[in-house]
Amino acid sequence: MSSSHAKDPSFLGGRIPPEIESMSRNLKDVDHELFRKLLKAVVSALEGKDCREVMRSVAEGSVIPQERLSHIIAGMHRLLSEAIRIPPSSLKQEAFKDDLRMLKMPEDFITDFSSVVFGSRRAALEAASSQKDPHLPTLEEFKWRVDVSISTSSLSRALQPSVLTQMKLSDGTFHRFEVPVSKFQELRYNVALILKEMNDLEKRSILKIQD
Amino acid sequence: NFVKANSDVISLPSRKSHRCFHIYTVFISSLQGERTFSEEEEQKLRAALSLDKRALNLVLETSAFILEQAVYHNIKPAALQQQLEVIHLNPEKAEVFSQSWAAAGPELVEKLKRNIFAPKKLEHVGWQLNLQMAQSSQTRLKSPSAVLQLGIKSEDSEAQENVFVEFNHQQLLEFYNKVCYINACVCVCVCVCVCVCVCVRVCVCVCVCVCVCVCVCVCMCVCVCAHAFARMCVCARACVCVSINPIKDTLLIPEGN
Repeated sequence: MSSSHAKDPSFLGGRIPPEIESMSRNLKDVDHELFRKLLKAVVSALEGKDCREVMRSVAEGSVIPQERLSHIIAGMHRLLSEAIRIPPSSLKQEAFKDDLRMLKMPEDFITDFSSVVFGSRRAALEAASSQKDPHLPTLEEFKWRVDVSISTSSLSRALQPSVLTQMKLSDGTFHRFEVPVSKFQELRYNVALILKEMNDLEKRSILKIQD
Repeated sequence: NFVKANSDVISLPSRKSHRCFHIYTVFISSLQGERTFSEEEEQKLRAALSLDKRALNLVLETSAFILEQAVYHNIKPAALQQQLEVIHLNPEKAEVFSQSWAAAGPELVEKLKRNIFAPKKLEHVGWQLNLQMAQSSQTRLKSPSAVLQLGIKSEDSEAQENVFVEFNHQQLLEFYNKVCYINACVCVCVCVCVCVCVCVRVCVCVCVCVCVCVCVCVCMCVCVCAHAFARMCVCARACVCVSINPIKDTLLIPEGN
């Protein structure tokens, strides 16, 4: 049965996840060098890179049985994912280290974990993990062209501008369409309106409440 | 055919022809080359105007042609009447055409100007502002996100395709900056349109008038005129020189056609 901290609950919640518990058991007599290699591979995996080769070479070069290694890797992955979930404003480095000390982890390992979670690679980890979350496509590329139709089959002097837009979205779709001037002004007005609403929202007190 | 139709038109009693052409002007707005009157309506017209089927067709086609030409050249009602009299149309009938054109013409020309055809057109803009509190990979977010709905209609289908695009604050700001830049280009385009429009009429006076009034477009006028219409070069240079004169000295009302 896991025990929670006397004052505040650990960042891992009231109940320590089983992978992390088994990891802390299996980290005994793992040398620092091996730990660092494993941590590096897990961080690459979290960033979305393929690290099967790296894992295989680490496993082959190590005296520790594969089963134990797999427990360690699973625990590391879970620990880092949970730590990245919480914004740095809510989870401070010292509190994080204290929570890890509760798991009876060696101090060196705690320092290494801490440098990943609070270091420069955090932004990349956050970006990679939020990719997997559901979201609507965002605008990746926006190309446009302003045309003026001088003449048409119905009018010798039409002289109407129009905007041809091409949007490439993050899900890979392309949309090419014509925007008449009146609709374009409507679009511009609406975008300005959303920006104003966003600014008002960000100023409101709900966002200033720290949790 | 045109002359024959003329004689049919001439032979129509004035009162009836007025009604006929008035109705027709309303329907010409489709200008799609399809039949503007249904079979039933044509029968009624034939009865009302005492014409046989062939004669009615001729009259309708001729009227359509006259009105299409009027739209194409955006002719003034007085000029239209004059042109019709030149081709020996009864002055009374010419006046009827002219009056119908004066009533419905400008609106029709505006409608056609706005009617751009493109495979896909933006028809509807909608949006939603959300405050994202959390997601699987992150808690305690509080990040505003906007969803823009663009309703795009294809030329060949009635259904509207909805495209949803999500923006965070930074992305929306960048998008807005691009949209503002496009707007500036569109405004310049409108100035250019005016310059091109007047330049083509080869009327130095008019050019001067426009260019002095709207200083911004002076340069654009010069570029477009010099590049696109070589023989307008003289016109363009005249514009630049006169631009330094105060507006009241050079305010001339252009004689349009």
